[in-house]
Amino acid sequence: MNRLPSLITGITLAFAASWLGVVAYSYVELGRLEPYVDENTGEVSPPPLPGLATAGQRVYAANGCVTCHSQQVRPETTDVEKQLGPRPTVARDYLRENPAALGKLRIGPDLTNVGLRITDANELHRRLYEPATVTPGSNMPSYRYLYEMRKISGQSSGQAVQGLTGPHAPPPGYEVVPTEEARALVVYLLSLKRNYTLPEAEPLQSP
Amino acid sequence: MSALAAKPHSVAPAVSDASVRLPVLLFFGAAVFWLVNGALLAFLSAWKLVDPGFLDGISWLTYGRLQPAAENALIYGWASQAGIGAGLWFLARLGRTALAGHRLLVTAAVFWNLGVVVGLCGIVAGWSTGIERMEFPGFASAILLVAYACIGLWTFVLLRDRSSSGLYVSQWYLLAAFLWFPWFFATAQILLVHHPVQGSAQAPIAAWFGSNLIWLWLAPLALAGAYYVIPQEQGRTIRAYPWSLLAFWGVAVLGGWSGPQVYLLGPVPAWMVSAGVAASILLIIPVTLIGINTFGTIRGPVQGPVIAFVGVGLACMMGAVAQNVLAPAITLVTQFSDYVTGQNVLVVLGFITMTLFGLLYFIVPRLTGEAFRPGATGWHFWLVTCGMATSFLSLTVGGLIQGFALYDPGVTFMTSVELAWPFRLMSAVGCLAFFAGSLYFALSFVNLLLRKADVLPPAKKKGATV
Amino acid sequence: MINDPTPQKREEADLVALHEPLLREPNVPRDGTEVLSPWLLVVFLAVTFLGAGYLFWNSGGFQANVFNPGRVSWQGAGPEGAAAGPDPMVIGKKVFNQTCAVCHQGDGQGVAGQFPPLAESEWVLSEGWHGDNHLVRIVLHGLQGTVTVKGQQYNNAMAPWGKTLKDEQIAAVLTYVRNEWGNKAPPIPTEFVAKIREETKDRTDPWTQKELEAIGKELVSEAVAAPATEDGAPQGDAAPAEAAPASETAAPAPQPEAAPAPQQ
Repeated sequence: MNRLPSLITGITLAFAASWLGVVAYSYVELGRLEPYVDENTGEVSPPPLPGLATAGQRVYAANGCVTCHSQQVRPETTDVEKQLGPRPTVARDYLRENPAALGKLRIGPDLTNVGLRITDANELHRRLYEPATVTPGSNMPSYRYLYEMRKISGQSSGQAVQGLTGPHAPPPGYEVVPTEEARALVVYLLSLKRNYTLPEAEPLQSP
Repeated sequence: MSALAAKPHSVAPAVSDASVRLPVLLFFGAAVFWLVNGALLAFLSAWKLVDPGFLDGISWLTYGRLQPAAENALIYGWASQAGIGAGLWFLARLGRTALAGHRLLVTAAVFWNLGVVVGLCGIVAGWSTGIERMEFPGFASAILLVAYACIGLWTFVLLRDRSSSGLYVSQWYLLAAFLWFPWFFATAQILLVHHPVQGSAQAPIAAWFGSNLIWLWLAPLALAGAYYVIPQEQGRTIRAYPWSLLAFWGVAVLGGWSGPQVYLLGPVPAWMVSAGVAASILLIIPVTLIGINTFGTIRGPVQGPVIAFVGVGLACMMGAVAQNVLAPAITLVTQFSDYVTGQNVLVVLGFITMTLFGLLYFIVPRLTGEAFRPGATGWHFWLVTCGMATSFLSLTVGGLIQGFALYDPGVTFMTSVELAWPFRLMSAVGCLAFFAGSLYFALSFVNLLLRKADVLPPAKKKGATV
Repeated sequence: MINDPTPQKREEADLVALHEPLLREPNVPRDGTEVLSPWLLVVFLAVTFLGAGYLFWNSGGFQANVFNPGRVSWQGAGPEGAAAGPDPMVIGKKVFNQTCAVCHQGDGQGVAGQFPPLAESEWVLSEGWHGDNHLVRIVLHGLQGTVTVKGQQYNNAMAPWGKTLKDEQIAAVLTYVRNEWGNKAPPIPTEFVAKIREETKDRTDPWTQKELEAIGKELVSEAVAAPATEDGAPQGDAAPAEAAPASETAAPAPQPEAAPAPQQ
C-alpha cells in the first residue's frame, strides 16, 4: 500500500492549523487595525510619522539596531516603573512601523519611548557618533560611518553636530555633519513616543 | 542493469550513493565552508560586545550587521545545506532508489549558495530587512526559494520512486520538512518583506517563522538523521518504534504554535502567546518519546564520533525544550537578557549543529569510501562541545544576573551592562573554541576529499554500472 | 572512544523493512515495551492538563485586543476602565481653543465691553440665580441682548453651537471652563447636556438673559441625584420634553463614555 498521500495530507493539515491560527489570524485581526481617532479631539493615534522617519526605519533595520534594542514595554513588570514608557505597548502602537522592531534583547536600553526621554536631535547625533563619550562604559558601536567629517570652509554648516568630544571629535577647522541616513534615523528615533492613549491599552502613568 | 531487472526499482546502496554523491558532497562542502565562516562571524560579533572598540566604526563590520550575518550563515549556509544533503542521501538509501540525474540538484546547490552569498553581502552592505533570521534582502531570499524548488522536487521524486511501499520515520520527517519549508518561508517572506503587512501584525508572523525554522525545518532534518544513524550504528531497531511516529505528529502539530511565546507579555494578543507557551509545554511529550527512542536505542557503549555527536545534539534538544517550559515561570528575569542568546546557542549550535556533525561523520565516509583521519574527530568533538557548552552556560548564568539587574528598578541600565561583561567574555571564548573546532573539522573534511580526489571520478563511473 | 572514524564495513540494515513489522504488531511483547508503562502515561496526561490549563487561564478571552492576560479588558471594566476614558479637561481645552477662544480669549478674560469673561464669572460657576442648565442652554442655542457679567454690561451675540458640537464636547468644554483660570466647579456630565438638549430640542432662537432668569436654577448634582424632581417650572418652548427621557439619560453615574466592551 502507498501511504504517501495520506501522510502528505496529515502533514499539510498539521501545518495548516498554525498557519491559519497565527498567520491568517494576525493578518485579519491585526493587519487591518486602523489608527484610533478620538471623536472629540480628532487626534489620531498612533500619530502619522514624519516623512523622513519612514526612511529612518530602514536605516534602523539595515544597521541591525534591533539586535540590541527592544521596543516593548510590558505590563506586570517593572518596565513602567523603570520609566521605559508611560504605559505597556499594544499591537496598535506598531501600526506605522515597518518592520516592527520589537526585538528580543536589551543589550542596549529599550527604545520604545526614546523620543520622550531625548528630545534634542543633536543629543542623539552625539550618542550615535561616539556613544562611549556620552555614556562612559557603553558597549554600543560607533556609527561614525553615518557622518561626514568636513573642513569648515567659511561659514560653519548649520547641521554640524555640536559638543563632540573624544578621540573622533573633529579637529579645529573641521566639523561633523550627519548624512541623510543619520538625519533620517534621528527623526525616526525622535518619533518614538507612545504617550497617547488607546482604548485597548492601559491608562498612561505619569512619571 | 540486467542484474536489477527482476526488481526494477530496488537498487544497491552503492548505486544510490553514486547517483547522489556529487550533489550531496557539494551541499556538504558548501555547508562546511559556511560553518567556518559563520562560526568566525559569531566569534567576531561576540567579541565586539566585549570590546566595542574592536573593528569599530566600519559600516560592514558593525555589530548589528555582523551578528545577523553570523546567524544567517549558520542557518542557511551551514545547517540547511548539511540537512538537505543528508536528507537527500537518506531518502536515496531508505528508498533503495537512485537519482535519475544530478544536474538539476547541482544547479540548485549552486543557486542556493549564490542566494546565501548575495544575502550575506546584502546584510553587511546595509540592505538587511531587520527581521530576525530573515535579514537576507528580499532578492536573496527569492534566489533561495528558486533553488529550493529544484531540491524539493527531487526529494519528492526520490520518495515516490522508492522500492518499498513502507515508510520509515526518517522519511516522514524528511517529507514533512521538505513540504513545510517552502510554505512557511514563502509565507513569511511575502508577508514581512515583499508585501509587508501592517507593523501591528508583523510580530506574531515573525515569531511563527522563527520557531518554524527550528522545529519544522532544521529539527526534522536532524531528527530524520538521528533516527537513521542510531539504529545503524548500534545495530538494533528503534526501542519503541510506534512511539516515534506519535512523536512525529506531536512535533508537526506543536512546532508551528510555539513561536509567539517569545513575546510573552508583549504586544501580541495574549491568547496567541499563551498558545505558544502551551505548545512548548506539550512539546515535552514528543521530545520525551524521541529521547526514549534515541537514547534507549543508543544504550550501551558508544563507539565512534557519530553517536557521540548525535547524542550531545539530542541532549541539547531536550535541554532546549526544558528551558522553553521554564520560560513563563522565569520570564520576568530572563526576558531580554543574554539568557535568550544562550537558548539560541543551545538550539542552533547544540541541538542542530551537533546532530548534523554526527550525520556528516556517518555519511561522508560511506559516500567517499574514505575515512576521516584518526585522531581528528577527538579534537573536533571536544573543541565544539566545550565551546558550545561554555558559551551556553556563561550566557545563561550571566543572563540571569543581567536579568535581575534589568528587572530591579533601583539599578541603572549601565550596571546590567557591567554585570554581563565577564560572562560575555566567557561566551566569546566559547565561540572562539567553537570556531577552532569547526575549522579543524573543515580541514579534516578537505583532507578527506583531497585524498579521495584522484579516486572520485572512477568510483563514480564504477558505481553507476554496478 | 570517538577516535574511531573507520566507516563500518558491515552491510547497512534496511531500516524500512526492519521497522515495518513493528507497526503491524504493536502488541507483541518485545524489546522496549516497558516504555509504555503507566507512569509515563500519567506524566503525559499531567503535561497535557498543564498546557491546556495554562492556555485556558491566560487566554485573555481569546480576543485580539487583549495583551495582558492578567487583565481581561481595559474597556469599561472597573475603575481602571473608567480612567482609561478620555480626559474631559484635555478635550475641553481643544474644543475651547478651536471654538470659544476667539471671543472669550485664551485666558478666559473676554474683551472689555464686547465679550464677557469666563474666569470667575457667576454664569460659569452657577452662582446666584445662574444654574448649570442655563450654561448648557447658552452653548446649545446662543445668547443675545444685554447681559450682565461681574457687574459689567455686555451687548453682543453669541452663536449657537448645538449643531456643531456633540454632547461630549459641550460637556468637556464646560467642564474645562469651570476648572480653568482659577475657576472651581463640578464637571458637567455628557448625560446632563443630552438631557437639556432633549428638553430644548424645539428651540431655534438664541436665549436672552430675561428668558434664562425665568427658568429655574438647576445644578448637575441635583439633576443627577434626583432626576425626577420637577422644581424647575416647565418651560413653554420645552413643553414636550418630559422627565422620562431625562431621567433615563441622567440616571447612570457620570462617567466618560466607554466603548462597549464585548468581553466574556
